[in-house]
Amino acid sequence: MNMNRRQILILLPAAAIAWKSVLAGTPQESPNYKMTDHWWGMLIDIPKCIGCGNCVRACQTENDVPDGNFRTWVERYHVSDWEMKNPQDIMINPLTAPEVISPDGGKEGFPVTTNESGKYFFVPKMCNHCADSPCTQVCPVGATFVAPDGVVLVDQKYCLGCAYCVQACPYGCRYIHSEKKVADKCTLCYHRITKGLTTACCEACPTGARQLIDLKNPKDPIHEFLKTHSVQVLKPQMATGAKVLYNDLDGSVR
Amino acid sequence: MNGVEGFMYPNEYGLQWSVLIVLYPFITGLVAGAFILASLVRIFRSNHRANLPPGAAHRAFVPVGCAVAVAVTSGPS
Amino acid sequence: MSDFKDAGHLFRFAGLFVLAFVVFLVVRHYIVPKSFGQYGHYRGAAIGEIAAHPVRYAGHDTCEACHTDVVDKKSKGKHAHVNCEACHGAQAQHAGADDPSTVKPVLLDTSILCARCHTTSAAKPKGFPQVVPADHSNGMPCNSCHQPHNPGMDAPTVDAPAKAPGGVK
Repeated sequence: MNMNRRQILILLPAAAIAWKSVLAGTPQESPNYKMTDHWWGMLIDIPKCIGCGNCVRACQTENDVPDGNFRTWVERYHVSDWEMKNPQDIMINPLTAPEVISPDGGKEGFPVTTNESGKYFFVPKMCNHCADSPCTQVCPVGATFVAPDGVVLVDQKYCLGCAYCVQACPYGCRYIHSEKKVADKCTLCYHRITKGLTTACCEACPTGARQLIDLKNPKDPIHEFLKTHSVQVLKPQMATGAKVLYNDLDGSVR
Repeated sequence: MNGVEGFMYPNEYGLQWSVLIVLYPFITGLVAGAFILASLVRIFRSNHRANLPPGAAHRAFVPVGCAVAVAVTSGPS
Repeated sequence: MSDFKDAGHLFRFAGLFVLAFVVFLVVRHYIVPKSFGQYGHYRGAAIGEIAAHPVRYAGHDTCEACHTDVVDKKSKGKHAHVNCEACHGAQAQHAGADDPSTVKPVLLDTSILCARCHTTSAAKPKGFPQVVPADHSNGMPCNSCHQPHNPGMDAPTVDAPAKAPGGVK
């Protein structure tokens, strides 16, 4: 960067002040954030995902996720030509149709494949921050909850570690933290979104397949997107009110 | 993931579903069985202590103790 | 009232229950956390605790505040929408330091980094630029020919790694 001294002297303190205000305190203290003004969700654009695994690594770095547990992960589906030509003959055999792999959650990407037949697509998954969440219903002590701004959070000081919520989640996104021995899961980077930043996974995604959305914000681009695209949620039959919307989700995704 | 055929969600690897699927009906059976046996006492208006062999009251706790031990040790690992 | 003639023992038993209930209310008043029930059936203070988690990724707006020349170059090429930290990793320490030049981001190895996204695979979307690294570059690092901020071959030629403001490396 070739800047003269005057520009540096102005820019550095300005950037430092901007950054410190971003870091300032909790949402109750931060004057800019009102919980009732937001209803957070996420948009995942399936055709854009290339399975690079940046989001999985970024989430682990940002949130200190232990190895072997995943707050978000990527699955690769392979629907074979035979399945597509014989929809009436498909035995719903979870072992073969379609082929799904998620090597270490997609953290180091996926193995190269040269088999051009059939269709492939990547499905990033995470906590769906359900509006009618099954995991918050089953907690015996009230340690997990839907916050007023739509994010499902875990109070790790209150959690007993009974793992009832881990079993209850239909999307398999919760786990017991191997060191803290309490329930843990994606917090939608609550500590970032309350300060005006986006989530770590969205920040790291190189193709823009993941986008944080605020359904209560009239200026959010999601409203325009919803007018022109059709979106789906995972496991709609569970009626969880999931707020992670998928564009172009294939019917074979489980 | 090793030893998994087909696909299982990455976080559910810690849950040992194969143990839980067997354990829950077992516990349900214990509870239902205890209810049935307790109701049989009423049906046949049994004179409790006289009709049973000696030590029966203590031995009745053995299956309950086993069930509790299995449930506790097969919890989240 | 003659029905209650010999019921004294029952009233004493009921009294025990009332006493136990009162004791329960007193103990509950002391041990349930103060913020419980503030927004719902959970500890309201937990929201603040969760939001106080340290931030590791600075966010592209923070990077762009200082590194405007890189932003200009990047906006003209195919990596315009790739955020800085997608390749450079978490840089909150660098951005938040009083003197960012003391916390230097690690120089990346392009032969590993670029391959993560751009290695050919039948699974990737067809329009996405993909190469087989061995055939394409024969093991040479990608930045021998491509400038990562503007990777098109028609872009200005490779220049030295990004310098800190003021031209000091």
